Amino acid sequence: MTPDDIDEPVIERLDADTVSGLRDRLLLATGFRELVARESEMDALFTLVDIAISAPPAVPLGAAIVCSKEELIDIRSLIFSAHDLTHDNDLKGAAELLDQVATRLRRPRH
Amino acid sequence: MLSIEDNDLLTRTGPTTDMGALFRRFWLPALLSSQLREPDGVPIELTLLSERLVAFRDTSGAVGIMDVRCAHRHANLKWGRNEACGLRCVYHGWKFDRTGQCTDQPAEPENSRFKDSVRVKAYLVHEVGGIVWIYMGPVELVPEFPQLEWTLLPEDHFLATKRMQFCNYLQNLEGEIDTAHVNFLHRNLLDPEDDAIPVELLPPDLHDDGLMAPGFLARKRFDLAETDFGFVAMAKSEFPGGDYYWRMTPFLVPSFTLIPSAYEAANTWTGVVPVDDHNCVGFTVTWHHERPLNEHERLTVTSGAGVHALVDPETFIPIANKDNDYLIDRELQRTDSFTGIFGVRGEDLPMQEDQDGTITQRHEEHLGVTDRAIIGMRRLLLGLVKDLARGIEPPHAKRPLAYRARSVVAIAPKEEDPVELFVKGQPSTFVRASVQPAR
Repeated sequence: MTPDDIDEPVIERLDADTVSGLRDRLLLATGFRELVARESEMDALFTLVDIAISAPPAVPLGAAIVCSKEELIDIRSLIFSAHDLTHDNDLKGAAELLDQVATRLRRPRH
Repeated sequence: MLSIEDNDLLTRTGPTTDMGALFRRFWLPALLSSQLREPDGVPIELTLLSERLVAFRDTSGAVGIMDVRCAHRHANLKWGRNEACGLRCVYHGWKFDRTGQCTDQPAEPENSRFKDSVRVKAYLVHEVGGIVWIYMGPVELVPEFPQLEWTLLPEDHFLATKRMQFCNYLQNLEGEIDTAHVNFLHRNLLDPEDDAIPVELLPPDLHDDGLMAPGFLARKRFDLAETDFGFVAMAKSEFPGGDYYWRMTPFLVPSFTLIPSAYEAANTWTGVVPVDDHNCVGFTVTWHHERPLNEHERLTVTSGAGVHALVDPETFIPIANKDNDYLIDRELQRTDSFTGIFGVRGEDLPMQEDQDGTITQRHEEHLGVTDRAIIGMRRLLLGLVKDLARGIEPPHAKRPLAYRARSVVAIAPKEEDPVELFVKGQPSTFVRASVQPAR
């Protein structure tokens, strides 16, 4: 291990590419350290969507621009479940849920 | 975040709970030795893991801890007479030795053998390091006592204190491994050097080069390495001159931590045990591995200025507590300290005792990247709890040598492997193999 291994990607946006990237890293995670790191990223995703729902800014930002409140609530629920499955080491199940999140975020809007 | 179910799983510790079962696989600090000063002295009632207990030092000097209720009609044994190697209930005179065996029933017929079949539940006790320890699990699974470093040292090398805390144990434990808060909650506004770096590690000309601006160490990145005792949380910050400043906090299963200290400095251990689901008792021990604690180190402990709380000597309730708003001084907060509250532990208490009440709603929290140690601790404990519910015993309980660990504070070149840095900071008796490479 090198000290710079710590400098991993930081989740700062709720968009499809960010979620897909996390999904890919999750499927490669093998040990305690990596699983904790992925869980931490899911916490950050949860924060982004939960704040967008519970304390929305006057001008919508990020995913809130393209998602309705109902869609954001669904996405939050999926992320929460993916987080739970990661806790239980069901990485495949968690990755499938993240796929669903990414798909919703990619869906064309009218 | 945690689901409501997982939060319940981690925070409920009574006799029939899964987390309670995990706690009951380890030796736990129960009370200070100094609370039971003399043989045949006053018995003390205490509650641990939601079980009401009584502790007493018998005529031989050995300590017993058992159910507070007399086996007869549940009168409280703390009112009892501690005499001739046993505690006698003052209601009808039934007497119990420290193993819980009934040894006398003076009102029963003279030749009755009834007492031979009567017991109260009593637990295994081990007294060392200024603390009376208790094992509350299955007797056939009792682990060897963990080799915490200060428990192997002469009495003048350590000082142990305890305090009552009015929140679930997990809120305290999460605070202990959360090194990110140090630069904020515990900041001294008057001392820009106060970034929790031991003075001996500071380059002598540092304040003159303008780099020691307040908070320059506040932005940390975190990683974890799994160990035989649990894990070590490693936090790094950029340090003037191109090095990294490392703070390494070991988390020892089930609820112990070591506060980051430099190798040459005194080290501090913390242990928290649930009283019930809404209260806990925190123990703090400061020790030096090579010499008796010096006057300054002792004063730091006894003054309440550091991580040891200033408490009422009878109740162990902190002097500054929720009922008096922790004696916050708003003028001091404007001019001197970040909080206006006295002492490092004093500053921790209001943060931990009211996070949405005594049990925080973790499904609604918002964690950042600096919370990785907290996430790791929850993951580790949840895994152990769920394993135990399936019949898999926690392996950490069987690794007493691994508990002889120290924390680490170091400034090191950026290319240095942090796992190696941690191992370098351990005593020579530490088992090298117990720290796994992080990858």
